[in-house]
Amino acid sequence: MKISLFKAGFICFLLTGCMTPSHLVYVHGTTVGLDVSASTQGTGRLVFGYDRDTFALIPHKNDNEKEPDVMSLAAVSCVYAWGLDDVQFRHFVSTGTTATNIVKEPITLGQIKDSIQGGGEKCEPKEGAKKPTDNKNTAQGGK
Amino acid sequence: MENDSIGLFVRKLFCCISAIDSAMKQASVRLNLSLRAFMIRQQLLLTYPLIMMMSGCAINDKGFTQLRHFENETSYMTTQKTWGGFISTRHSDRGLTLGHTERIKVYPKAEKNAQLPLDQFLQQVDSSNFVEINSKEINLGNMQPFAWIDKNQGIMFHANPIKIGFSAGIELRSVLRLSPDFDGIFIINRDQNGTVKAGIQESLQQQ
Repeated sequence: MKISLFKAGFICFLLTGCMTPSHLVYVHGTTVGLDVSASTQGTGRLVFGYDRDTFALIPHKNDNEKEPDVMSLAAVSCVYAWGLDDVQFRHFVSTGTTATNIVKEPITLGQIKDSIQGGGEKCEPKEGAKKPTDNKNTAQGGK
Repeated sequence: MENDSIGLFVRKLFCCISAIDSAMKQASVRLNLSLRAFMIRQQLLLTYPLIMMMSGCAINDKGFTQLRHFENETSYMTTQKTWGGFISTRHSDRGLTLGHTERIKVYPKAEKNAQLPLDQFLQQVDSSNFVEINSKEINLGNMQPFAWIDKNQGIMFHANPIKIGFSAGIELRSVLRLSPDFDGIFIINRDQNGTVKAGIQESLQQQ
């Protein structure tokens, strides 16, 4: 009985959702082997084998539960993952009033997208790069 | 495709274990020392982490480690490789690693840089490579990195804001972590050769 309770408690601990993040966080991780983790600013997990994980957390600017004010954010990312070791990425992250100003200007957003995508229509690797298995192009706007 | 690699990994692991088992069994039959072989196997399991630690040991930037410093117009970068036992007490990657570690961290420069229009800033990031500098020229102190890339192999115990837990095997991680007080732009690129480029600007000049 005690062992069952311990197991259930451990699983609940691992599955506990993200706590309120204190920072803007973006994580892209790959694990091969055994991984047992909980986190104050991430996600708990239990992995044996292979796992690829990507997540982002955007913090609140205040603790008002009724009217939470999320941190302003404008971000464009282009990520390639080939095999285990070859991860290419280009991230543009703007926050605060800078993000608010950028989002208001479509031309500026276009410039950023062109720069992050290397001038191409899509998020693709540069010439000579290997074919990607994981291709993500994300644009986020907060507030 | 990712599932295939899971199968291969598990099969390889079982192959290793069964090979060790059969070798140990043959030896014990031949020498009629099965009990001793069992004891040796247990001792090996216990002493492996200690052997790993004795091959090299480092705490932060002290010990058996290779730490290099770089800078560009707006940021600093450190690269660190360690072999054996490595303890990091730094907030971003606090933990213990037994094995091999490679870490790249990007820090903002404390001084305010010239504020550039967006197009010029994007060009600056593309054109400015990191240049190696003497570690005595900078003091990162308690500065928090805006981004870091980890590659760990071996046994890892993590106790940092991104992860608290235990890992065994290989893990790769790229992290961006910005303070909610940061008002500006952060760009980081990593190409197929592993070359990192980064740029930080506190606030954008209106065009």
